[in-house]
Amino acid sequence: MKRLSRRNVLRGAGGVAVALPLLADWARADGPPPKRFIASYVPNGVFTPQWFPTAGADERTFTLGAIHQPLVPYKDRCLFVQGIDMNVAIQGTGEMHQRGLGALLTGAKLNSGTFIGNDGSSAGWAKGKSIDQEVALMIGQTTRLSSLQLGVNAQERDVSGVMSYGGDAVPLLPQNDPRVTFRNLFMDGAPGPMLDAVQARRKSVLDAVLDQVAVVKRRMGAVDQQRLDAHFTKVRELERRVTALPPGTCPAPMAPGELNPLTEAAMPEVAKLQLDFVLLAFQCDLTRVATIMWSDAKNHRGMPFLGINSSIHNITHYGDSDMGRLKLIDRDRWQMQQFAYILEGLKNVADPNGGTLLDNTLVFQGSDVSRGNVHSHDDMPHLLAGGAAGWQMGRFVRFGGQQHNNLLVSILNAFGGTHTTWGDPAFCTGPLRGL
Amino acid sequence: MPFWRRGLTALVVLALAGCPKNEPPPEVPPPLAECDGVAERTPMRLLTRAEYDNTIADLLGDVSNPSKDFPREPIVHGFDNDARSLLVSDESVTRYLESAEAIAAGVMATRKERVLPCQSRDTACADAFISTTGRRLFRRALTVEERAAFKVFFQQVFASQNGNFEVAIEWTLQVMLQSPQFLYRFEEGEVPPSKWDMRTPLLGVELASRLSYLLWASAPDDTLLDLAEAGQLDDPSVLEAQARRLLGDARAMRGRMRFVSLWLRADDIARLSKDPVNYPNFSPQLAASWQRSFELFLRDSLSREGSLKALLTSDRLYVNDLMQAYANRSGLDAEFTPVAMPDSQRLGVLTQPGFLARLSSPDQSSPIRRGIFVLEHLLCQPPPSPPPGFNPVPPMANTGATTRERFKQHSVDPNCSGCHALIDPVGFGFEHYDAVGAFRVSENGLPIDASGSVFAAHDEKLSGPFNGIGELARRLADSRQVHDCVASEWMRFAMGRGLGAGDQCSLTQVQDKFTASQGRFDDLLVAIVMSDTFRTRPAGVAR
Repeated sequence: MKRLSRRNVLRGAGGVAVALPLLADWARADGPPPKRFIASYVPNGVFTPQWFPTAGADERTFTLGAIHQPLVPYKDRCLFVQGIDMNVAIQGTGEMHQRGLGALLTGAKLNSGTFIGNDGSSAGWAKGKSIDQEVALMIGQTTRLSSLQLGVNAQERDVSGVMSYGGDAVPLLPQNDPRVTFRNLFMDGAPGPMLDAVQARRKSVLDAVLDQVAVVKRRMGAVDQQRLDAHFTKVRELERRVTALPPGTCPAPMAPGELNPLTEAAMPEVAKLQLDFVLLAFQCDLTRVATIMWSDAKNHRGMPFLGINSSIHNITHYGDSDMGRLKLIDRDRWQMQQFAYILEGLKNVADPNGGTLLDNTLVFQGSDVSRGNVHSHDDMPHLLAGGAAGWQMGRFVRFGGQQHNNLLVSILNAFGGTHTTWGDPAFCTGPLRGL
Repeated sequence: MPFWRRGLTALVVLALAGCPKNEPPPEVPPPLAECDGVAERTPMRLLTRAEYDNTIADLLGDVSNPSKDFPREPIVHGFDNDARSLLVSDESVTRYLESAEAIAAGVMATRKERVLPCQSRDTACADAFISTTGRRLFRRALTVEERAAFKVFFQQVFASQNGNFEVAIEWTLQVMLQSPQFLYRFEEGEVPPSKWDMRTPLLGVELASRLSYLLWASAPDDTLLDLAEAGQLDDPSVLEAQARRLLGDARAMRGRMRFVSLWLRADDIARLSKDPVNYPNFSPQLAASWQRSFELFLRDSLSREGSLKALLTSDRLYVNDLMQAYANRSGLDAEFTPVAMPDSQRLGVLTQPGFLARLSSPDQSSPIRRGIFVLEHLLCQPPPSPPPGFNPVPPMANTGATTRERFKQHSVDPNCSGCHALIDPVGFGFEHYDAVGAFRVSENGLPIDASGSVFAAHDEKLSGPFNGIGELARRLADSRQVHDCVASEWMRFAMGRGLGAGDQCSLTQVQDKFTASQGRFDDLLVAIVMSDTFRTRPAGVAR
């Protein structure tokens, strides 16, 4: 386990030392450690015949299968679930993948619109805010970035490529390029007189930009005024980000080298970089909320590094006894490896206020459908891990058909919310029972 | 017949054909006799990445594509310029900051004359900079308030930076490049009453920006701004002359290509990948060649004849060393060469290798995606969704039969046959082209059957059986329905929003003019510019 020493500048090999707030403000405070949240999206459902663990005599005595092997060391930190139904996505505008991805974190249906689904149906953006953005309001207001939206080859720029929403029809498209993620998190450069001058200039320039936003806003109608208010807020937050003098330092990552992030072959490399930056951002308290999309809903892309050269979407469609579908097991295991990589990274960092980052983080992984070949939304392949929610982990809980939206309420309330419903209220009866 | 009514007919026809649908057809108000009526509102429009780069290149001479790391625009109805969906984010304002710093530094280092209209280094020169560069970047004269604010800012920086004139100019330029007046196009100016009762003509400068961003994907030049500020664009003959002038400029190819690339989904061909077992010759370099070949084809079709017919029936195919087999050539190098292909193998945009490869799966061709493309993008007749809870299973590749036989299941299953009776017969017409867009006469040792049929809801001449894409392309090129569809797509792109009831009258006029012009794209663009939809906004201010 690494221990961070405050005000200790570490350099990666050839890396740039970057001024970062070392876990600083909260490390000094006596209160409980901050909580963090990661939501991860795996497209097109899973190989359900082998994806769920085998139940034992009670919730704690279940058996993991071949797909879960990467998670064996973390079995007691995970909550395996079955019987959570995403009923909100069964009907409505759009096709099943679009509806499922749209509802994964929003619990809402889709607007009508013009996004043509794989089957020719059309949909708009999701009708509500996603829980990561609500969690960010609760725990992400003091960090440099209130949340991160990341992608690994998530190329679609419509409802099939978005899991985070700032509100009704406000899509937050993921960033696929780790080099840009790096710049978003670590744009300052080394501390010193140079940085002081840059920060002074940026403050001056951005103050003048804010003046211009205010000037132009006075002449506009209500709709555009609202948009300019949002623009004003973004610039003011940018000013705060680029002028806050960091109180300490943190291990400085290397800026990523050349890569083409929008290729199938690069997915493993991109994944590692993106996840490492999330872990470092948590460690340095640059953000406490992240979402990550492992490509898009109904994507027609392969994963050549797993020997999958056909379309993942098509593979999920084959019958359960079809040889073609077995490739999905390899994909599912690979996704479990990625999940385990997150957990390992979190476990390896001590939280100055106690425990490890894993103790203070909740990781949620879900998909848009359960079985791709029937596009069902019952029995969703959800997975949870980490200690932030205070739930008893190391269990396999069969909920027997509770609403997906109830899980979203429970997650929100784990971060200090007092919600009784989330998303479309017709598909929510309150927090999940039996957690 | 107005297009909303045609759309209604299409839905009814599909319903009669047994094609399942979820929603009843929407109620549509009756058409208006004249092009007045309540106009549709377009909110302020954030520059897209392409518009940002072109604007910076034209006004400040920075051709480095500074927006390359900006967040991606959401795609709505295939286009990247949907005004409602273009919103700033934490990332975008961060990129605007970085970009403004880099652009301003570059200008001051090597191209000062682009922004400084004078040699002196005094207050008068700074004021002139604020007025002239500010006007270009904001695409209108600065208001008194704006000019005063920039003067104060310049003086403050000048004082705090030990009287360094150029630093103060550079910082002021950074502010301008991050100001909303640069990043957005606004259409809210107060104007006097007009010939319209329920809509308001745009201010001259607002119309100038609509014009230049449609035709150049960039800011107005000084000539256009001068005319706009003199009120001369209110004169239809001046407006049309300016539209023709802009279309005659090389920059107009950027505007045409922007629409056509999005409409035909040409932007992501280079990122395709294919199954190496079925397509061992595939490489990322080949995909990049497809993209380039397709772009060259589009530019050629748009610049020579510039008509929809040319686009659909041009015999050109651009090939290089990696693509020479597509044209049965050998010995080519990396440069692209145009080849006139026989009709039996290639004819027009629908037979371009990159286009065909994009409308395929990684391991086999996709009659479904190709059929849907024609229905959706050329006929404006998208097929409705399958019923809820039903599983479309694409057949596996490599089972020995032809693709056509593998996909026949759609037409057999009663759940599918309603819609697929419309989709598949169009898609099967493409079967001479595999998943890498190569021409084939057999598949798995079986002869290719490229017979198909198309049903066009408003065009009896287009409807009916055909054999191969050559025949289909010629029929599409002569179809009124196809021309009307392309006109409505381009008009939607021009407005940055969906077309509504308040646009129907203008749209009908634009469609009539497009057909009357033998489908020439530049005449279509002029017709859009001259339409009431393009020249007006809703009356009053959005409250």
